[in-house]
Amino acid sequence: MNKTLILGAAASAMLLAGCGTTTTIYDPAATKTGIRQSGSVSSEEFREVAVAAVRGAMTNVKFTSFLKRYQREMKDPDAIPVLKLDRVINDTDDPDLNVSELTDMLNEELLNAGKVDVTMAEGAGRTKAIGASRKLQDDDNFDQKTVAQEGTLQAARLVLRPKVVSNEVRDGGRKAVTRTFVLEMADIKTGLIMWKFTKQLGFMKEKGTLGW
Amino acid sequence: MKTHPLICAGVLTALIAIGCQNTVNTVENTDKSMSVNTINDTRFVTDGYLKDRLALKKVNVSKTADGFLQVQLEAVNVRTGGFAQIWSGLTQENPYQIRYKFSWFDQGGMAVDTVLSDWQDATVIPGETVYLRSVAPSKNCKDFKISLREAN
Repeated sequence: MNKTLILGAAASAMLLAGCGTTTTIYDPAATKTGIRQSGSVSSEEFREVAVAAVRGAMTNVKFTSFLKRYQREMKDPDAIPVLKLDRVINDTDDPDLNVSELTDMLNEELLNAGKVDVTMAEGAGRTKAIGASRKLQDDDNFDQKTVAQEGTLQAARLVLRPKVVSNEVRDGGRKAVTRTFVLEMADIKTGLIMWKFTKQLGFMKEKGTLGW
Repeated sequence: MKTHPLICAGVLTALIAIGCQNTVNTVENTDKSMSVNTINDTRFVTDGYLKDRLALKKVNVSKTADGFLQVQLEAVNVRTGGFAQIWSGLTQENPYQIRYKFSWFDQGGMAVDTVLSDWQDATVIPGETVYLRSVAPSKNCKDFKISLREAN
Protein backbone atom coordinates (compact mmCIF):
# COMPACT_ATOMS: atom_id res chain seq x y z
CA MET A 1 0.00 0.00 0.00
CA ASN A 2 2.84 2.33 1.04
CA LYS A 3 4.72 1.40 -2.10
CA THR A 4 1.74 2.43 -4.25
CA LEU A 5 1.54 5.76 -2.42
CA ILE A 6 5.25 6.46 -2.90
CA LEU A 7 5.07 5.56 -6.58
CA GLY A 8 1.99 7.75 -7.02
CA ALA A 9 3.70 10.68 -5.27
CA ALA A 10 6.84 10.24 -7.40
CA ALA A 11 4.79 10.14 -10.59
CA SER A 12 2.87 13.28 -9.54
CA ALA A 13 6.11 15.07 -8.68
CA MET A 14 7.56 14.16 -12.07
CA LEU A 15 4.43 15.37 -13.83
CA LEU A 16 4.47 18.64 -11.89
CA ALA A 17 8.16 19.13 -12.65
CA GLY A 18 7.41 18.58 -16.34
CA CYS A 19 4.70 21.22 -16.25
CA GLY A 20 6.99 23.83 -14.71
CA THR A 21 8.37 26.76 -16.69
CA THR A 22 12.01 26.44 -17.63
CA THR A 23 14.20 29.52 -17.73
CA THR A 24 17.37 29.42 -19.78
CA ILE A 25 19.89 32.21 -19.50
CA TYR A 26 21.62 32.98 -22.78
CA ASP A 27 24.04 35.47 -24.25
CA PRO A 28 22.36 37.38 -27.12
CA ALA A 29 25.78 38.02 -28.68
CA ALA A 30 26.52 34.30 -28.98
CA THR A 31 23.16 32.56 -29.31
CA LYS A 32 20.42 33.01 -31.83
CA THR A 33 17.00 31.81 -30.77
CA GLY A 34 15.42 32.27 -34.20
CA ILE A 35 12.14 33.18 -32.49
CA ARG A 36 10.16 35.59 -34.63
CA GLN A 37 6.71 37.09 -34.17
CA SER A 38 4.66 38.95 -36.72
CA GLY A 39 3.27 41.53 -34.28
CA SER A 40 6.51 42.61 -32.71
CA VAL A 41 10.12 43.12 -33.75
CA SER A 42 12.48 41.09 -31.60
CA SER A 43 15.62 42.25 -29.87
CA GLU A 44 17.52 39.67 -31.90
CA GLU A 45 16.44 41.34 -35.13
CA PHE A 46 17.51 44.75 -33.83
CA ARG A 47 20.90 43.37 -32.83
CA GLU A 48 21.38 41.76 -36.22
CA VAL A 49 20.60 45.05 -37.97
CA ALA A 50 22.78 47.03 -35.54
CA VAL A 51 25.84 44.87 -36.28
CA ALA A 52 25.37 45.28 -40.02
CA ALA A 53 24.70 49.02 -39.66
CA VAL A 54 27.82 49.60 -37.58
CA ARG A 55 29.90 47.71 -40.11
CA GLY A 56 28.35 49.76 -42.91
CA ALA A 57 28.93 53.07 -41.15
CA MET A 58 32.53 52.23 -40.29
CA THR A 59 33.47 51.42 -43.87
CA ASN A 60 31.32 53.96 -45.67
CA VAL A 61 33.49 56.16 -47.86
CA LYS A 62 31.02 59.06 -48.01
CA PHE A 63 30.78 59.17 -44.23
CA THR A 64 34.57 59.16 -43.93
CA SER A 65 34.96 61.96 -46.48
CA PHE A 66 32.30 63.97 -44.62
CA LEU A 67 34.31 63.63 -41.40
CA LYS A 68 37.43 64.91 -43.17
CA ARG A 69 35.49 67.81 -44.67
CA TYR A 70 34.05 68.63 -41.25
CA GLN A 71 37.50 68.67 -39.64
CA ARG A 72 38.77 71.04 -42.34
CA GLU A 73 35.71 73.23 -41.86
CA MET A 74 36.22 73.37 -38.09
CA LYS A 75 39.99 73.91 -38.57
CA ASP A 76 40.57 71.12 -36.05
CA PRO A 77 42.01 67.74 -37.14
CA ASP A 78 40.37 66.09 -34.11
CA ALA A 79 36.91 67.68 -34.50
CA ILE A 80 34.02 65.22 -34.26
CA PRO A 81 30.49 66.09 -35.39
CA VAL A 82 27.60 65.90 -32.92
CA LEU A 83 24.80 63.49 -33.75
CA LYS A 84 21.18 63.71 -32.64
CA LEU A 85 18.46 61.15 -32.98
CA ASP A 86 15.28 61.88 -34.90
CA ARG A 87 11.80 60.47 -34.27
CA VAL A 88 11.28 56.93 -35.54
CA ILE A 89 9.15 56.33 -38.61
CA ASN A 90 7.12 53.28 -37.70
CA ASP A 91 5.40 51.56 -40.59
CA THR A 92 4.92 48.19 -38.94
CA ASP A 93 2.11 46.32 -37.23
CA ASP A 94 3.87 46.90 -33.90
CA PRO A 95 2.44 50.17 -32.48
CA ASP A 96 4.85 50.12 -29.54
CA LEU A 97 7.92 49.73 -31.70
CA ASN A 98 10.99 50.95 -29.86
CA VAL A 99 14.09 51.10 -31.98
CA SER A 100 16.31 52.41 -29.19
CA GLU A 101 18.00 49.00 -28.97
CA LEU A 102 19.16 49.52 -32.53
CA THR A 103 20.05 53.21 -32.34
CA ASP A 104 21.74 52.87 -28.93
CA MET A 105 24.02 50.12 -30.21
CA LEU A 106 24.84 52.10 -33.34
CA ASN A 107 25.46 55.31 -31.38
CA GLU A 108 27.64 53.50 -28.86
CA GLU A 109 29.84 51.96 -31.53
CA LEU A 110 30.21 55.23 -33.47
CA LEU A 111 30.94 57.03 -30.20
CA ASN A 112 33.57 54.47 -29.17
CA ALA A 113 35.11 54.57 -32.62
CA GLY A 114 35.50 58.34 -32.30
CA LYS A 115 33.39 58.97 -35.38
CA VAL A 116 30.65 61.04 -33.74
CA ASP A 117 29.67 62.62 -30.44
CA VAL A 118 26.10 61.91 -29.42
CA THR A 119 24.00 64.64 -27.84
CA MET A 120 21.32 64.23 -25.21
CA ALA A 121 20.49 67.94 -25.33
CA GLU A 122 18.29 67.77 -28.45
CA GLY A 123 16.50 65.33 -30.72
CA ALA A 124 14.50 62.24 -29.79
CA GLY A 125 17.08 61.26 -27.15
CA ARG A 126 16.75 64.63 -25.39
CA THR A 127 16.78 64.71 -21.62
CA LYS A 128 15.18 67.49 -19.59
CA ALA A 129 17.90 67.17 -16.96
CA ILE A 130 20.38 69.13 -19.09
CA GLY A 131 18.07 72.14 -19.33
CA ALA A 132 17.00 71.81 -15.70
CA SER A 133 20.62 72.00 -14.53
CA ARG A 134 20.90 75.48 -16.02
CA LYS A 135 18.03 76.69 -13.84
CA LEU A 136 20.34 76.31 -10.87
CA GLN A 137 22.12 79.52 -11.83
CA ASP A 138 20.00 81.54 -9.40
CA ASP A 139 20.08 78.99 -6.62
CA ASP A 140 22.43 80.11 -3.85
CA ASN A 141 22.59 76.59 -2.47
CA PHE A 142 24.83 75.57 -5.38
CA ASP A 143 28.44 76.49 -5.95
CA GLN A 144 27.96 78.60 -9.09
CA LYS A 145 31.36 77.54 -10.46
CA THR A 146 29.96 74.02 -10.86
CA VAL A 147 26.67 75.08 -12.47
CA ALA A 148 26.51 74.73 -16.26
CA GLN A 149 26.44 78.11 -17.94
CA GLU A 150 24.31 79.22 -20.84
CA GLY A 151 25.82 79.01 -24.31
CA THR A 152 27.88 75.88 -23.63
CA LEU A 153 25.69 73.27 -25.31
CA GLN A 154 26.81 72.00 -28.69
CA ALA A 155 24.24 71.82 -31.45
CA ALA A 156 24.01 68.69 -33.55
CA ARG A 157 25.51 68.69 -37.01
CA LEU A 158 24.19 65.26 -37.92
CA VAL A 159 20.77 63.71 -37.53
CA LEU A 160 20.01 59.98 -37.54
CA ARG A 161 16.53 58.91 -38.57
CA PRO A 162 15.46 55.27 -38.16
CA LYS A 163 12.61 53.83 -40.18
CA VAL A 164 11.11 50.34 -39.96
CA VAL A 165 8.70 49.05 -42.59
CA SER A 166 6.92 45.72 -42.25
CA ASN A 167 5.31 43.73 -45.01
CA GLU A 168 3.19 40.60 -44.60
CA VAL A 169 1.92 38.25 -47.28
CA ARG A 170 -0.20 35.13 -46.87
CA ASP A 171 -0.62 32.16 -49.11
CA GLY A 172 -3.02 29.54 -47.80
CA GLY A 173 -1.52 28.28 -44.57
CA ARG A 174 1.74 30.11 -45.04
CA LYS A 175 2.71 33.60 -43.99
CA ALA A 176 5.85 35.52 -44.89
CA VAL A 177 6.87 38.63 -42.99
CA THR A 178 9.57 40.98 -44.24
CA ARG A 179 10.91 43.86 -42.24
CA THR A 180 12.97 46.60 -43.80
CA PHE A 181 15.16 48.63 -41.49
CA VAL A 182 16.36 51.94 -42.88
CA LEU A 183 18.81 54.26 -41.17
CA GLU A 184 19.48 57.66 -42.69
CA MET A 185 22.09 60.08 -41.47
CA ALA A 186 21.93 63.62 -42.83
CA ASP A 187 24.11 66.68 -42.57
CA ILE A 188 21.92 69.30 -40.85
CA LYS A 189 23.81 72.14 -42.53
CA THR A 190 23.07 70.98 -46.07
CA GLY A 191 20.15 68.60 -45.51
CA LEU A 192 21.92 66.03 -47.63
CA ILE A 193 21.97 62.38 -46.68
CA MET A 194 25.56 61.37 -46.14
CA TRP A 195 24.96 57.78 -45.04
CA LYS A 196 22.06 55.48 -45.68
CA PHE A 197 21.73 51.89 -44.59
CA THR A 198 19.01 49.43 -45.53
CA LYS A 199 18.66 45.86 -44.32
CA GLN A 200 15.83 43.44 -44.85
CA LEU A 201 15.04 40.59 -42.48
CA GLY A 202 12.33 38.06 -43.12
CA PHE A 203 10.73 34.94 -41.75
CA MET A 204 8.04 32.46 -42.77
CA LYS A 205 5.47 30.70 -40.64
CA GLU A 206 3.33 27.73 -41.48
CA LYS A 207 -0.13 27.43 -39.98
CA GLY A 208 -0.38 24.83 -37.22
CA THR A 209 -3.51 23.05 -36.01
CA LEU A 210 -4.12 25.75 -33.38
CA GLY A 211 -3.64 28.70 -35.72
CA TRP A 212 -0.62 31.03 -36.03
CA MET B 1 24.76 -13.73 -61.08
CA LYS B 2 24.80 -12.09 -57.65
CA THR B 3 27.16 -9.33 -58.72
CA HIS B 4 24.68 -8.04 -61.29
CA PRO B 5 22.40 -6.20 -58.81
CA LEU B 6 25.49 -4.81 -57.07
CA ILE B 7 26.82 -3.34 -60.32
CA CYS B 8 23.39 -1.87 -61.08
CA ALA B 9 23.24 -0.32 -57.61
CA GLY B 10 26.74 1.08 -58.06
CA VAL B 11 25.92 2.60 -61.43
CA LEU B 12 22.68 4.04 -60.04
CA THR B 13 24.49 5.58 -57.07
CA ALA B 14 27.10 7.08 -59.38
CA LEU B 15 24.36 8.53 -61.59
CA ILE B 16 22.58 9.98 -58.55
CA ALA B 17 25.89 11.38 -57.36
CA ILE B 18 26.48 13.10 -60.67
CA GLY B 19 22.88 14.31 -60.77
CA CYS B 20 23.14 15.74 -57.26
CA GLN B 21 26.11 17.91 -58.18
CA ASN B 22 25.04 21.49 -57.73
CA THR B 23 28.20 23.42 -57.16
CA VAL B 24 29.56 26.82 -58.09
CA ASN B 25 31.80 27.49 -61.09
CA THR B 26 33.67 30.77 -61.26
CA VAL B 27 35.49 32.88 -63.80
CA GLU B 28 37.71 35.88 -63.11
CA ASN B 29 40.30 38.11 -64.72
CA THR B 30 43.75 36.50 -64.81
CA ASP B 31 45.84 39.64 -64.67
CA LYS B 32 44.97 41.31 -61.41
CA SER B 33 45.37 45.02 -60.86
CA MET B 34 44.55 44.99 -57.13
CA SER B 35 47.35 45.12 -54.62
CA VAL B 36 46.45 42.68 -51.88
CA ASN B 37 48.11 42.56 -48.48
CA THR B 38 47.89 38.87 -47.57
CA ILE B 39 49.29 38.12 -44.13
CA ASN B 40 50.70 34.99 -42.51
CA ASP B 41 48.19 33.32 -40.24
CA THR B 42 48.27 30.91 -37.32
CA ARG B 43 45.54 28.27 -37.11
CA PHE B 44 44.21 26.27 -34.20
CA VAL B 45 41.86 23.48 -35.32
CA THR B 46 39.48 21.68 -32.98
CA ASP B 47 36.87 20.67 -35.58
CA GLY B 48 38.47 18.58 -38.30
CA TYR B 49 35.19 18.23 -40.20
CA LEU B 50 34.85 22.00 -40.53
CA LYS B 51 38.47 22.23 -41.66
CA ASP B 52 37.84 19.64 -44.39
CA ARG B 53 34.63 21.25 -45.59
CA LEU B 54 35.57 24.91 -45.49
CA ALA B 55 39.05 25.63 -46.80
CA LEU B 56 40.45 28.89 -45.44
CA LYS B 57 42.43 30.32 -48.34
CA LYS B 58 43.91 33.59 -47.14
CA VAL B 59 43.56 36.55 -44.83
CA ASN B 60 43.87 40.03 -46.31
CA VAL B 61 44.40 43.12 -44.21
CA SER B 62 44.04 46.77 -45.13
CA LYS B 63 43.09 50.08 -43.56
CA THR B 64 39.96 52.12 -44.17
CA ALA B 65 40.25 55.71 -45.44
CA ASP B 66 40.32 56.97 -41.85
CA GLY B 67 42.83 54.46 -40.56
CA PHE B 68 40.74 51.62 -39.12
CA LEU B 69 42.09 48.09 -39.57
CA GLN B 70 39.91 45.87 -41.75
CA VAL B 71 40.25 42.18 -42.33
CA GLN B 72 38.90 39.82 -44.96
CA LEU B 73 39.03 36.04 -44.76
CA GLU B 74 38.63 34.12 -48.02
CA ALA B 75 37.07 30.69 -47.57
CA VAL B 76 35.82 28.06 -50.00
CA ASN B 77 33.33 25.24 -49.49
CA VAL B 78 35.37 22.36 -50.91
CA ARG B 79 32.71 19.64 -50.48
CA THR B 80 32.17 19.36 -54.21
CA GLY B 81 32.54 15.66 -55.04
CA GLY B 82 29.52 13.54 -55.92
CA PHE B 83 29.68 11.38 -52.79
CA ALA B 84 30.41 14.41 -50.64
CA GLN B 85 27.28 15.97 -52.11
CA ILE B 86 25.16 12.92 -51.28
CA TRP B 87 26.53 12.80 -47.77
CA SER B 88 26.01 16.55 -47.27
CA GLY B 89 22.45 16.11 -48.52
CA LEU B 90 21.80 13.26 -46.07
CA THR B 91 23.24 15.19 -43.15
CA GLN B 92 21.39 18.36 -44.23
CA GLU B 93 24.65 20.24 -44.68
CA ASN B 94 23.96 21.49 -48.16
CA PRO B 95 24.14 24.48 -48.33
CA TYR B 96 26.69 24.62 -45.57
CA GLN B 97 25.73 26.86 -42.66
CA ILE B 98 28.54 28.34 -40.65
CA ARG B 99 28.97 30.95 -37.96
CA TYR B 100 31.95 33.23 -37.60
CA LYS B 101 33.16 35.83 -35.18
CA PHE B 102 35.83 38.51 -35.30
CA SER B 103 37.53 39.36 -32.00
CA TRP B 104 39.55 42.56 -31.81
CA PHE B 105 42.50 43.31 -29.56
CA ASP B 106 44.13 46.57 -28.55
CA GLN B 107 47.86 47.27 -28.30
CA GLY B 108 47.96 45.64 -24.87
CA GLY B 109 46.32 42.46 -26.16
CA MET B 110 43.03 43.18 -24.41
CA ALA B 111 39.88 42.05 -26.23
CA VAL B 112 37.65 44.97 -27.18
CA ASP B 113 33.97 44.63 -26.32
CA THR B 114 31.88 45.45 -29.39
CA VAL B 115 28.78 44.29 -31.24
CA LEU B 116 31.11 43.70 -34.19
CA SER B 117 32.33 40.63 -32.26
CA ASP B 118 28.91 38.95 -32.36
CA TRP B 119 28.62 35.54 -34.03
CA GLN B 120 27.45 36.02 -37.61
CA ASP B 121 25.77 33.55 -39.94
CA ALA B 122 26.97 32.66 -43.41
CA THR B 123 25.69 30.18 -45.96
CA VAL B 124 28.21 28.63 -48.32
CA ILE B 125 27.13 26.67 -51.40
CA PRO B 126 29.53 23.86 -52.44
CA GLY B 127 32.32 25.39 -54.50
CA GLU B 128 31.42 28.91 -53.44
CA THR B 129 34.02 31.35 -52.18
CA VAL B 130 32.90 33.60 -49.36
CA TYR B 131 34.64 36.69 -48.06
CA LEU B 132 34.13 37.15 -44.33
CA ARG B 133 34.93 40.73 -43.55
CA SER B 134 35.04 43.00 -40.54
CA VAL B 135 36.38 46.39 -39.58
CA ALA B 136 38.00 47.23 -36.25
CA PRO B 137 35.71 49.03 -33.81
CA SER B 138 38.43 51.59 -33.02
CA LYS B 139 41.77 52.82 -34.28
CA ASN B 140 43.39 51.33 -31.17
CA CYS B 141 42.70 47.79 -32.39
CA LYS B 142 45.90 46.27 -33.68
CA ASP B 143 45.22 42.52 -33.83
CA PHE B 144 42.34 40.16 -34.45
CA LYS B 145 41.19 36.57 -34.26
CA ILE B 146 38.54 34.92 -36.44
CA SER B 147 36.54 32.03 -34.96
CA LEU B 148 34.53 29.68 -37.14
CA ARG B 149 32.06 26.93 -36.33
CA GLU B 150 29.34 24.89 -37.96
CA ALA B 151 25.89 26.36 -37.39
CA ASN B 152 24.11 23.01 -37.06
